[in-house]
Amino acid sequence: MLKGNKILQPEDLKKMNEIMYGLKKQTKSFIILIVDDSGQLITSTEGDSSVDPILLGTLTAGNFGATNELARLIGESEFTLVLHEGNKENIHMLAIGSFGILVVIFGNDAPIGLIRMYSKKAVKKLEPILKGMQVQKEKNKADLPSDEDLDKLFNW
Amino acid sequence: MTMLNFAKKEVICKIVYYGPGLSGKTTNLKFLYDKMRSKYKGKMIAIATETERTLFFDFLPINLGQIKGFSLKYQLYTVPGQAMYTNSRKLILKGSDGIVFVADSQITRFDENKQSLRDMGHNLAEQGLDIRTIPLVMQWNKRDLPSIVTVQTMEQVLNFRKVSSYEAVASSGKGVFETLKEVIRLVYLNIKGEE
Amino acid sequence: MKLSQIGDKINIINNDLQDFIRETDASNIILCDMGGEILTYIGNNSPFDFPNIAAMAAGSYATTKGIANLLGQKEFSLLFHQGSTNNILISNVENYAIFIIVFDNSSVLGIVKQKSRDLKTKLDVTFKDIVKGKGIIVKKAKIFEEHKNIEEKEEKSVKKKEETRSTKKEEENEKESKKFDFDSLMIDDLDDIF
Repeated sequence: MLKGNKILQPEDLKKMNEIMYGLKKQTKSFIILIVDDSGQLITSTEGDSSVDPILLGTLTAGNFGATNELARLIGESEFTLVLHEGNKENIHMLAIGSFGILVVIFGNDAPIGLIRMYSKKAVKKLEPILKGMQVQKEKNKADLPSDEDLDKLFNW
Repeated sequence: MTMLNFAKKEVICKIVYYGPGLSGKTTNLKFLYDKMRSKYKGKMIAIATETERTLFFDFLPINLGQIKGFSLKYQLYTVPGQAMYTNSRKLILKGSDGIVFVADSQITRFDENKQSLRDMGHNLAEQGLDIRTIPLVMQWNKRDLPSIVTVQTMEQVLNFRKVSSYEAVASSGKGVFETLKEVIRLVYLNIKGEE
Repeated sequence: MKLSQIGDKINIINNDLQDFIRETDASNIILCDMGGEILTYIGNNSPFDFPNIAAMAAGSYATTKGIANLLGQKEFSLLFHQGSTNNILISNVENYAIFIIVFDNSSVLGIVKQKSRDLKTKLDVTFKDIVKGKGIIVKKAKIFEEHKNIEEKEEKSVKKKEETRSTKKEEENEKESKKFDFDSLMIDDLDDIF
């Protein structure tokens, strides 16, 4: 058997897809992605469209990571709203707990309040599913090398 | 973070090329991208400044075919090497399954390798990963340049775990493929469970 | 654009940034180049780590630009990140620079947005002036470079082969091609190694 740190079962994917497509319908958004915290695409509404969902997932995860880091740098634990205003399209990103990101790309005529509300609801439903995918226990902080350990390790 | 996707029958792993600025991390990925056949590779992203320095990361997804009924996919990333991007490096390491440390062999750059290696240990720990155990391959790059440190010294000082190491000239592709192959093997061994 | 290229014009820029802070009550504004290197900053004393903020903002902008490219948009002109007390707004000035506004809830979002657009226009004029006056060529930042598959033809033929389940003979033919021998990475072979 192969082993992974995260396991995605078909029934979980089915549940996530239902939530995702439901949200797409409710919000009339263009594209929705669910990306894990390391940048891997879990699922998207983009099957074989011209937009490459893997690249989009990587870029949105990188963007979200940078944003969270920015938040930390100005003393915020996290940004509750990430909004990128384009000419035709807007992007709304939401953390799914600490497990992933929900990305909603929507047009200029969609009311942002609605997008936010429905996305929030979707995240609540997605969080337990993503949490359930984790199979590896968190490493004990004490087991990781401290800066002192690193000094000893390299011994320069 | 290896993801085992039973729905799509995929295994996805993340490999990060780490090392000091200008050591040749992006060059490794570009060579692979240029030389790999289309069926094994996806599209590559390079997020770089106007002087072609990596400012966030490079990304190249590769697909190595079937194993035990799963398709085995690796996502290759590089980090930006310049000191100012330390937070970005930390971000990119998140969930990595294996590391290639690309060291610059030039005498004038030698100390930067040490700093980068230590920075890597620290950043990995911040992501809950351990430099002492994570699958790791060392690459001694730029062996074609004059004024380089001997391989013996590189081994002695930098290869603290005595892992596999490869002499390389990434610009011409020497050692690039061998390095990738080894890290793929190590990561694969890690995810291969008990028979 | 680099600080060395800006020269004395930095005074004009600083004045514009100062005006912006006065008009919006924002806490800080940082101007950096496309790579996240700080050009100048204005605002009240704060404990914030500006170099790191600038470097992350550059990454944030670059990935946003990449997303825009993928979606076929020219760019996302405004990035707005809302926290609980502090907010951040990031904007580019063409390919010259990026500015980052840090503001708390005592500033009015609408005003910050409006004034940031005005500021963008002003800075653009200044940068264009510098470029014109000094004959500097500002290289377009390679923010997003999606390497196109050069071998689309090959890809198509490979797809066909996959569809018809490639026979051993075909695999051998592939191996014989002058391409880099990546087949040795195939898992069947890897399994043999193990």
